Amino acid sequence: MRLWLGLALALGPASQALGQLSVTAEVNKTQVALDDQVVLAVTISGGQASLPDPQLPPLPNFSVYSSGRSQNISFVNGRVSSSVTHTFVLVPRAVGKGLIPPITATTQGATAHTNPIEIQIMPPSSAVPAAPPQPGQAQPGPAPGRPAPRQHSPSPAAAGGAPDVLVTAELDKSKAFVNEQVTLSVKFHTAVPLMGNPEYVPPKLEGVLSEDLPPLRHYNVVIKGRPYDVTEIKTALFPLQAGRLKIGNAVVRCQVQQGFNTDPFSPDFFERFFSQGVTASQTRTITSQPLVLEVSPLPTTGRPADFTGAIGRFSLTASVDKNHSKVGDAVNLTLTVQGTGNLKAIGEPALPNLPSWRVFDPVTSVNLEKKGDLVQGSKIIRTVLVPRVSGDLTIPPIRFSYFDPTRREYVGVVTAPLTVSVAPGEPNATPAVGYVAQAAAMAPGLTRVNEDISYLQTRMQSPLLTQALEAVASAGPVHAVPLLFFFWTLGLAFLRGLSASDPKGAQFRGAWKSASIRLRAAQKAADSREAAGLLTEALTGFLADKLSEPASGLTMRRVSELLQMRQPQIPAQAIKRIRALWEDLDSRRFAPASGGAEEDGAVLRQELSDLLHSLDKEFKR
Amino acid sequence: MTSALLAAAMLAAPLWGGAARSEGQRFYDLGDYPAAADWYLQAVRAEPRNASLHYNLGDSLFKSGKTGRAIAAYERAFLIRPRDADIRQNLDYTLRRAGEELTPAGVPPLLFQTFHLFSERELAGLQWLACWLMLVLSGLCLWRQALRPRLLSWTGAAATLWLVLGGWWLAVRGVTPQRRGVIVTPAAELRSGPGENFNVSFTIPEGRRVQVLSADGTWLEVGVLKEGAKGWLPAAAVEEL
Repeated sequence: MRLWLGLALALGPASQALGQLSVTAEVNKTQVALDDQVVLAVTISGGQASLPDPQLPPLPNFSVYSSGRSQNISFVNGRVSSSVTHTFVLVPRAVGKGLIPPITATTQGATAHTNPIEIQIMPPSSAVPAAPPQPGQAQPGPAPGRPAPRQHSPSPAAAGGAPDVLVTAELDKSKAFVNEQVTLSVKFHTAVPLMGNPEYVPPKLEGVLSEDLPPLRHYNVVIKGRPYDVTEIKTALFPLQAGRLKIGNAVVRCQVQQGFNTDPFSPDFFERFFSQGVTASQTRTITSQPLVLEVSPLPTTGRPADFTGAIGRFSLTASVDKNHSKVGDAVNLTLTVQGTGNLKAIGEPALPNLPSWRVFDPVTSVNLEKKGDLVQGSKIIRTVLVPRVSGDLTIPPIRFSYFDPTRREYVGVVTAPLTVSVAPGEPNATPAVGYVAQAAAMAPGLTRVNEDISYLQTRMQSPLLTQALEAVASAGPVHAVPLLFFFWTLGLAFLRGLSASDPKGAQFRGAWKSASIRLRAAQKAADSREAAGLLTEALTGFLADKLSEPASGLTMRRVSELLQMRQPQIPAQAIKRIRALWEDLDSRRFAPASGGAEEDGAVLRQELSDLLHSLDKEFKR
Repeated sequence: MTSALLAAAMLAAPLWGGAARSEGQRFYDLGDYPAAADWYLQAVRAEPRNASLHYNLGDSLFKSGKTGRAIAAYERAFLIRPRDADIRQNLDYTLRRAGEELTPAGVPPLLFQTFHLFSERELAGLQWLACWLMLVLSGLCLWRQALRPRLLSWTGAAATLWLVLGGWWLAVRGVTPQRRGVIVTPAAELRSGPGENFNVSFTIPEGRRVQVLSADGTWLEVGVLKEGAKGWLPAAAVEEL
């Protein structure tokens, strides 16, 4: 329990004009002996997560040692307020009045400062009057661990070679893992009275993070038969990388009292007495031996995927600030990593996929405590979750892994699942304070809560286009129809071209066809005379086409001559039949109509048809 | 007798398919996805050219946790009706879960959608129609010389259309392997030969599409389309499309 005397020179809130930034300073005592120390706590608070560091003014009357910082962040109605307390140990250097001037903090153009604090520094071993006790507070006694004042040996030589002052440095372990705590102890031994406070230069540290481990320890030891007052300063070291880590010398400069050894009978006794006094001081600079630390890398085997660099021993708890909420109302999820180790260096536990929640960036605070020479405390990760849907929403177990250097293995811890009952939100409800900006940025669009497949299709009929095209594709032999049509027209075109190139040949080949047309026309003629005319045209046209002669003016005589000359294979009987038919048709064309002409006409037409058909064959031979 | 039974079966198929799909939807809505998948499987057997039934079967299989078989069903639906937005969405969604995408990497989505605007059978029908049109117009030009001046340009356009559609059809057939399949078992082991005595070369996640190259007994030689690897798998690990 911190022993605050309550004489907090609380300096009143900083000006309201500076916004919410304020700085206060407290000391645990306002009167201190020269061989004692004062704890100064500077608290900076404001309405933002990131706060500036205090700017300490020069303190010539004190040696100042940083003793760590602790931060607290709180959410009230979605508003963030945080405070950081920086602790310093002030060791007085000279008797008299020690003034702590105003301490300032500056951020974003705003500046706040404390009022000055005056501290009365008393001579060593003088009784410091106790401050008035706070109600319920124990009466302060001697500083804990502070040894009783001891009479120093007047002569260093009397102790068998043991030095008057001595500095040692040691580590609590010579081998460590990366980021594992190693405690460095620097001990300042003194066997003679010191003139004023010594100046301490800590060892040079590279490749490590360091944390002071207050308070200073004071005790007595005997070395080589000589009693010493010991002041011990402990520092927690966290190696940053594997390998041999060198720790430099610790240096102490002090004024050591020298005995008055002037001969009282010497001629200059009085001169020296009044110039040096009874005692004289001597400045000593003493150093410790350098140290080496072997740092091992973390094992790669068995390293969990969620390992974020935590070394030590930790526990993880998760909680929500409410178990009932509405869609759109914020729920604060708090994860607390608590334990021993470098809490500043550990990463945040990864949240599982939370599709039913809108997850905002977390705000992290670290509370460090230093008990039993161990850096410990808690890291608190607060995340605002806004439910997107209603129902019983579960936050699955959250896993956190760390490496335990004592067990030399990775350890995983898991939180219990959390369930929040979410009711449907109010339509057009205003988002909760604290995430207005993010909510407004996402408001106009759709928010995908979860991705899933589309629902079943209930319209089973394929589109008509698809059905028609698939039917065409499956038509099979039907595909041949357009192709046949094309080839038919191609043949026609070929024949047409052939006729155009050989008109007489075309007439020769088409003679029977032309005659057939006329024969059919004669069948439909109105009377026998017209029919006879058509039959005559059929006969003369056929012969003209076959003989390549004009039909007009073609006589039977000419036909006989041409047939005998060009077509000798045609029998004479056929020519006789031609002549008989020709004459018969002429008589029918020009003779008066008689009864039974229609029956005779049909017989004649058939006879002519047979004749022309046989002639056509004869011509083709 | 056989033909009569076949005709009766063909007539009864849509009726049976209708009952099966109704049952499938009922079980799907009840959340009994395996039962819904069984009913839709029967409906698909009755109407194998119904893309919606393949799609619904895919939904039921996916909800049953059978991602590989769901992808196979969506692939069949996509082959029949590639323009359908639901089919594309679900196929792409399930393929992404298997480490693939419907649109190949580097191909503009609009180009992919245009290329697959018609199914392979629709393209076959379209190119046949264009072919018919070209032949008829050409025949008319040959048959009636008087029509030739008016029809000649139309005939040229039909011929061009036929060439384009025919080329498109051949391209779609070309990019689609004739024997394809989908991995339907979790982390199937691709071996260097057709047997358990051969070393495992790769493991393939469920749902990955493969090309079936050859078969040897109960083993299939497959090529993984995305990675370009090939090897042998038990035939039971692959559902051929």
